[in-house]
Amino acid sequence: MIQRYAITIIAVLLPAILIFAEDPAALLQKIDRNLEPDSYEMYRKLINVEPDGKKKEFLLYMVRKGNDKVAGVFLSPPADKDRSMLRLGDNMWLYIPNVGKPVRITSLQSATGGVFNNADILRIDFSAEYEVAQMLDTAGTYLFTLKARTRSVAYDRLRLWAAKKELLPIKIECMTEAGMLIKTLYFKETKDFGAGIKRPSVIETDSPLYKGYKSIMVYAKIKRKKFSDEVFSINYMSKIGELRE
Amino acid sequence: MNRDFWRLIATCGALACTFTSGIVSGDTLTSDDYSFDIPAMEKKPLEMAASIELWPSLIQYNQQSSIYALKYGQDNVRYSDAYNMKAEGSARFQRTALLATAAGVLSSGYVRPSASLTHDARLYECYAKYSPAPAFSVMGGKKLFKWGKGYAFNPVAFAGRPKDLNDIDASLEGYWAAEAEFIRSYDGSLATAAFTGAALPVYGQINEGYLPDKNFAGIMQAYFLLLNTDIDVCLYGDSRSAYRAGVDFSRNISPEWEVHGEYARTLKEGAEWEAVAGTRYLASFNTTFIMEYLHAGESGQFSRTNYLYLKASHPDPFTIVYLTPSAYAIVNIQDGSLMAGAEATYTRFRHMGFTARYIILAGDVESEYGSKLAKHKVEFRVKAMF
Repeated sequence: MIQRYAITIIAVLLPAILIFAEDPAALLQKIDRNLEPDSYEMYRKLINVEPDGKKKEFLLYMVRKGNDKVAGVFLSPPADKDRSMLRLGDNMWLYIPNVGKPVRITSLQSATGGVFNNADILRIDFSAEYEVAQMLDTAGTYLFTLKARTRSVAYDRLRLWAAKKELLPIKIECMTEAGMLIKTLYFKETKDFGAGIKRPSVIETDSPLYKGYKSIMVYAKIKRKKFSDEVFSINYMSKIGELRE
Repeated sequence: MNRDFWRLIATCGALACTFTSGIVSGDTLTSDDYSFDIPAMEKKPLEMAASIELWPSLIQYNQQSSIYALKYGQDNVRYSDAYNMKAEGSARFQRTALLATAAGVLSSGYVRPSASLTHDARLYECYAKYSPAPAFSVMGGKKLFKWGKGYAFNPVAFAGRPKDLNDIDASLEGYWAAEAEFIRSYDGSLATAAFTGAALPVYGQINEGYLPDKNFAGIMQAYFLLLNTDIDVCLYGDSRSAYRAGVDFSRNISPEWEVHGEYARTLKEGAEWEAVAGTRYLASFNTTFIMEYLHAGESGQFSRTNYLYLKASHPDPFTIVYLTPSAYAIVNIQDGSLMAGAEATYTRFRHMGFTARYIILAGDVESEYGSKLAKHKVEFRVKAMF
């Protein structure tokens, strides 16, 4: 009798479970869209904090289009002013005004020094670079284990904790293929930027490779904006700052 | 040696202290808020920047070189100390599609024991550009065309200037030209195609030295991002019916490993050719290695022979963030002479940068680098930026 009830309950619930179970890949894509619109401009402040509390700040103007085009130009400090960075798929370049021509860079190098590397600054969607290896559905959070789709990605594996309600990241651990922790990102201070963009405005990073150091990325003036594809070419790198209004 | 050396060190220290006081101390921030400086984000139509750089240096002469014999004869002058200053400034004005920009330098140097004082004023760039759309722009004025993928040498830079191998990133003077640029992006294997064409007249002091007087040259560059590879095809022609063609490429074999190459030749019988084959590798221990093989022609800063350029740099050693030590060498493969350097840059401060550099030139007294006037050089650079 009990067995029959159990079978009936499972038979009734199973379709519902199948219908309402979240697809991990689709969830990750939603997290991506909640973090950043498909095409936008924004300002970012990068702050490197030293063990004694002293800081060095960088101000960037960033633009993005679609899932493979990101560019940014440094507005300060004076030594870095007008340096620009471009990512086109797996290709990355750095343009230094004095050098006068873009040079290829890699995701693991750092244009700013400190904990943030080029991949952190020129990040594209998680779902574009990673596939979901596993998703744990716990109270209040999803825990994604992500595996890099290609070798060109900066971190082989990510463990991403996301808030279920807002579908926004809370914490990300970046790891090597061997499982060694490279850095941890903490997403903080969710802010309404208008036009339906509500996301953490601060990302803090620490790394066992830089003991005592901390890097912080602060977001401001995120605005949906369309750009022509030609903006994301090495010929345009010296002109990215001209897009500011 | 000792007296001169310690005098140089003392001078460097005094200059650095005077120069940096107030600027360095004002850099440290203690507030812990994440607010933005809104005015810093607002775009101003006119933007200006400036820097002042001081660099005392000490040179130990190569007393076996024929240049030394010419300059000093039988005198026993072993060392020379120099005190250099450079003030660079730039201004940029933008209103909608129109941009006007200018950058220049004032430099001065005092050399002992010859007690010679030199001055120079130079306009790096000065041009107006009209960009009605991101895909198209026209430019008129003085501009530097830095073409090519090589770090030390660029055979395809048909309107470029020779680089200072001890300061590869230093600003260089451009040429007066009229230029048009067209960019097109695509979906697929060919992601970008861009075309740049420029005309360079030589008349009187305009572009003096680029060609004989009252001539003009045309240069063209076609750029393609094809299959994740940067490819440039470059052409040159002038009013004397001299023609040159070149091609270069740069590609990442893996995220850590980049390869590049350049080839250029004159289009005539008995053509002279120049080439660069190079690679850059980021090792797992965060050291970047650059190696280039150069085949140079008669033009530029190299002799008609083959060279090897090597460089290794390692940012943030021992987690000292903003410190980058590096070592480099250019070797003349033919005669075995070389110029090598070791330097350390420190960029911790918002408005200040420091570079310490040691250079050695070695080789047979008849060789390219062994015959130079200097044998050892030490310099210390302090740069303030505003």
